[in-house]
Amino acid sequence: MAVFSGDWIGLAPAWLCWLVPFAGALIVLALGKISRKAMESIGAASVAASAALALVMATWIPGADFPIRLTAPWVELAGSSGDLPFPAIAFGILVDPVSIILANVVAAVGALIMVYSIRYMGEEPSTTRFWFLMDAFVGSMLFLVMSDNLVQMLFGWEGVGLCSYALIGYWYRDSKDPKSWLTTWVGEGNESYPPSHAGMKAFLMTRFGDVLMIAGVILLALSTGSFSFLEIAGRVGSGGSHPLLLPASVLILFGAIGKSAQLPLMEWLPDAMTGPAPVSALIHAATMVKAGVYLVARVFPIFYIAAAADPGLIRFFEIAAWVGAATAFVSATQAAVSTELKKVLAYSTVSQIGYMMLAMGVAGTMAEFYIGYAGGIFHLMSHAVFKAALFLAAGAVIHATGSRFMHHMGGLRKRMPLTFLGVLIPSLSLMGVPILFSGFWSKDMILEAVLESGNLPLLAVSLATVSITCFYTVRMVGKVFFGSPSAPAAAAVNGGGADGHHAGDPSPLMSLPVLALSAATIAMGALGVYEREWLARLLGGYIGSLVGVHGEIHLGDPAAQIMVSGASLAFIVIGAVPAYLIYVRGMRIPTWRPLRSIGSFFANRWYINRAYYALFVYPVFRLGGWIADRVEEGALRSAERSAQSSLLWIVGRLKKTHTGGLNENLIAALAGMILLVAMLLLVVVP
Amino acid sequence: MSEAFSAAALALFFIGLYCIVTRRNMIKTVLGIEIMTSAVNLNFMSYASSGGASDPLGTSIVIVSISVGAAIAALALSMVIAVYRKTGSVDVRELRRLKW
Amino acid sequence: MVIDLPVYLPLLPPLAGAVILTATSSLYRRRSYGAVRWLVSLASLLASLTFLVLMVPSVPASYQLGVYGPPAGSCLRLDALSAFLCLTAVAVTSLSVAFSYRYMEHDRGKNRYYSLMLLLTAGLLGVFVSGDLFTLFVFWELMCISSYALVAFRKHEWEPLEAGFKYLVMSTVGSLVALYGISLIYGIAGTLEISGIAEALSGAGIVGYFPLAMIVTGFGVTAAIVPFHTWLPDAHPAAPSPVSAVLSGLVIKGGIYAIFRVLFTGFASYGFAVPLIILGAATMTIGNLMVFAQQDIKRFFAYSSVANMGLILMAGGAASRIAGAHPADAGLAYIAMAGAIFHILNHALGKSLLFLSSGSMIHSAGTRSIQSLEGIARRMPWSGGAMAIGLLSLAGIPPLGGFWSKLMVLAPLAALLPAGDPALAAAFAVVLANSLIAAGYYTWLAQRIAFKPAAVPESVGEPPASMVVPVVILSIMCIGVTFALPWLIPVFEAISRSLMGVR
Repeated sequence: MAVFSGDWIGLAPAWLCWLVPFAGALIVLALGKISRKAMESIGAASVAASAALALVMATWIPGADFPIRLTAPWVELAGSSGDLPFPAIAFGILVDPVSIILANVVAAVGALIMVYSIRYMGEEPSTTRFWFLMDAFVGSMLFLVMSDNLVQMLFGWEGVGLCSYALIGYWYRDSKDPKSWLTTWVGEGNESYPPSHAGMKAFLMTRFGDVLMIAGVILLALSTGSFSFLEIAGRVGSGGSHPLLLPASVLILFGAIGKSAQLPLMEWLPDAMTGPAPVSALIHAATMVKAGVYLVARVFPIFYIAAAADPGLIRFFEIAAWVGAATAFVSATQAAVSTELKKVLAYSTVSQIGYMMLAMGVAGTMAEFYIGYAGGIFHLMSHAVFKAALFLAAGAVIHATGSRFMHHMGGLRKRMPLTFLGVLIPSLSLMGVPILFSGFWSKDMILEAVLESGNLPLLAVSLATVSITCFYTVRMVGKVFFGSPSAPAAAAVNGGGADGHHAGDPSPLMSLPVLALSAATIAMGALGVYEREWLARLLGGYIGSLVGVHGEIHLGDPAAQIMVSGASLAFIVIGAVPAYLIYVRGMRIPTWRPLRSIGSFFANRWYINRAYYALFVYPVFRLGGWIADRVEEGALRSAERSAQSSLLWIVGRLKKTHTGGLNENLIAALAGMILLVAMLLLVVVP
Repeated sequence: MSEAFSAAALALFFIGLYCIVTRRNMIKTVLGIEIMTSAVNLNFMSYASSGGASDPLGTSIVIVSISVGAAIAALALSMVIAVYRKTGSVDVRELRRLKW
Repeated sequence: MVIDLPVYLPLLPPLAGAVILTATSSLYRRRSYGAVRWLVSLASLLASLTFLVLMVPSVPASYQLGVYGPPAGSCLRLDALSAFLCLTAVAVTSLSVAFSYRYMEHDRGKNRYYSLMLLLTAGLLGVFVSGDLFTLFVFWELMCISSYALVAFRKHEWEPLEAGFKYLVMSTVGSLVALYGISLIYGIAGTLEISGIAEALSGAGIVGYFPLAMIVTGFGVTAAIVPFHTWLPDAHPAAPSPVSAVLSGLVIKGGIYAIFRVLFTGFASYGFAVPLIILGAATMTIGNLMVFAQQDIKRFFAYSSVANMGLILMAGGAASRIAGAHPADAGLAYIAMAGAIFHILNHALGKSLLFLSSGSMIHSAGTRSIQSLEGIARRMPWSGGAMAIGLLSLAGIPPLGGFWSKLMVLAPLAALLPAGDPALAAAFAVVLANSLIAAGYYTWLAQRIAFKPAAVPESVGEPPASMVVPVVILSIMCIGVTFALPWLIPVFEAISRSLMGVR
């Protein structure tokens, strides 16, 4: 019988927090036809309730003895004698600081975005699908975060992937009229994609990562005999090294790479901007793309312990660190030349997640892992807050000017002051401007970790990326809010722009969430010092107890901190000042040939996207067409043409034996019986 | 004694089988089924009887089997009649329209 | 609370219902009373279901019919396997009968139809609860004769006639061969009680294996084992869709059940293991290969039923092989057998779902050709969606039910690969290859039904609610199997343990 173990009732928020959004999704489906207001309220309220539940969980952090597991058996094939080496799959909830922090981030940011969506999607004819998918997404994401084992996490993983695909392609009708092209498509020229294509691209790319991840999960389960995170960690510690662990770890990393849009699977995220702004904010900035980082954080104890026994496993962390650093750099360069507002933010997201991956990777190579680990988690939290604000504000800007291109914007500072504030503050946080902004504290914690690890090339790449980050951020702010307005923006400013777009601050339902998030990023920044320490102690102590490392949490000596802060400040200035001069002050720069070709290289996305299409997408289309024409039509239309393939030849011969004549059928039956008797006599009578 | 009956039942069984498999006339097919049924009944009785009172189990099986045989024959013959109405013949080879 | 109910009780309502319907047949000549007929049928089936549910705690139970006790008399026995199969049977039949109300609205002779369905159910339940071969034979014939009449129900069309006659002849020959085998067992053992024949047969030596072959052949005809399967691709499509659902979902399982029951309980050693594996492999492979040539959707499903029966047979054969040749790994044998029984459930749910939902499509679109039914899910989202779930479940896509039963069959075979047993290694390869092929064609059909542009005219739409609801209920059950795994898996393992016994 199914036995529920653990305090399911007392710890109810742990499973209610994802159950409520799922229930909300179903209710939304029912209410959709009845009342739009009711549907929107329920849709938003369920996520708000989820946020409240997550907050309750946060209150457990000081007192509780982590980790807490709630389990119920699900599939146990081993039988009573346990002869089958198939690990049991249980249904479990893992309540620990990491999952509580993530749950709070997801639910709180999600609630604000839902409020924003009420007004943003207000003009769409029928939004039942939107609310259903958003609620289902939040439910799946929380399910993923609270999972105690790999299989269950995979369910949530697939769920968020599915909702993401459906929401990216929300405007799947791909209308080609100029107005829609300016707002719902993405890209230019022959790299311009409609929403349905973008959704499919996201799905397939993450799918590729997922397949590798599933292989990795299977390898990990087979080599350790369990699917549960804690149990695997326990067995790896006592069992010694196992040759399958390194391949398993890298394969699992690929899943994280796919979902978090890192190299080499990063191309889907910039093109996922065809979705509505709340979708980009929730899924592609604050939550789903963090799932990969969360996965790495969850398997971190396992491979950290294993690395102690088998030093070869350090490779896993090194690969993660370099993937993160390289991605951060490459996508930052692409952001620096991008012409679309949301694309800049998308590349920026990829880049910042690269930092988190870098932090996790670097942490694994050090004895004082907690600096990197806590830094990664801290940056996850602070990035979620400021990036969501940026995307929501960008949505307002695009809606107001009727175009996604930055050259259709400009000079909006005066007409949209609140929005400007809502962009400026998060941007400063993104750049890592010191003291008052959370981005500074979190990014510097990561840089500190990199410094402590002693890996100077990584540090160099990270610092270079800081510069480029500042460059593109200031460039974005300058192009959108400063300078003289472009024609469409000017028309919008005077009211009656393209299709009556009226540039002005959006309604409170849309601007309040943006401002709330901006305030949050300042608040987190003001408390930055304390947060740093608290996270490091909390996570260091918790993960430390898992991996068996106990000791003093040293947060590094002040000298290192000041060095890092100083260096980052220097690089901020290097990046920000030129951008300020060019885009805010409007200084003209001479067009220098090498700079131009570098710029176009970046603008062509380092030709990675084109390469993928040429190598994978077009050949598969052609192969599929060939198969459809030659094999399917041939087989279906005239099955007599059994020469198509050996399978059809066999089927053709087989068909001749099924003549339909009753006498033949009976003879065949009797022949079968005689054969059976013969078999029995042969087999049984030795 | 019962061995002779069993042998006869076996022979009858194969005669019935031969009849079903080789005859083209559907009614003969039904007859073959009936012959096989009789064969099986004979086999049962050959084991059930011991000169005196017969074993009630075997006897009751035979009685049930006879009634089942009758039902099957009725059903089969009604199908034969329906086929005859449609095609004017009772040749089994008419029933080849459904192939692979 | 254990209620002591006699084992024959679930059989009574369908029988009573059939009698009542026939006796009051003159009443239904008026249109408005047609619903009463349907309701009477449903009521009797639901009564049967209620009795079964109430009897579950008192499993295992038995009941003596008549004056003579064993070994001469007849008995009914309700053990875990019987209870499980009876519940499945009544559930699927109730949904098919519910579906029939609108599906059969244009047919004549509906009175006979409902009575025959009830008789079929009664026969099926009787087969599952019989404790000796005589009772088995009686209910077996009841089930078979009802099914012959139901296949040939639309006798004004050619296809049911041809299919019905061929089915009748082949199945009757099969029943007679099985009966002959039973008579040989009677001659050897002097009794027909299933648990009592084991000793006598083991003492008989070689002669004991002739009745075994005849029984496997005879029941194998109904169970659609190659080469006795040729009636099925004609009969299942020719029958009206609800009847096809019951035939594919339940009646053929009756054949497999009879084979397993007689073999595992009646024969002391596992000598029949390898022939079962060979037969199962042939059935599975030929069934899967023939699917590729099909353009008629019901024939497509019919051949896939053959293939799935092959899987169940192979699983049983593998289980007996493991138990016989590798007695130290008996736990794995139980898991394989549990997988076979689980697959009975999955296939019953899935295949009846497929036949019912395709029945909706045929009813609305008027065609059975896959080419013409392309994209019909766009016009009929509920039926199309449910069909897709059924297809994915049978294809073995996780997390739907079919995946778990195939896993339970493959995992023990994989675990024993190092042992180097050629029969088991071959079984593993065949099951794996066939599962992949089957997954291929199921998803191909799903893609055709759902994602192609609709080939049917705009006027085609969802059928009436009484045809959509059973289909949706079945699809929920297919999904629900996944959630119910913690309860289902121990039940199946217990069933397989009691079936295979302790040797």
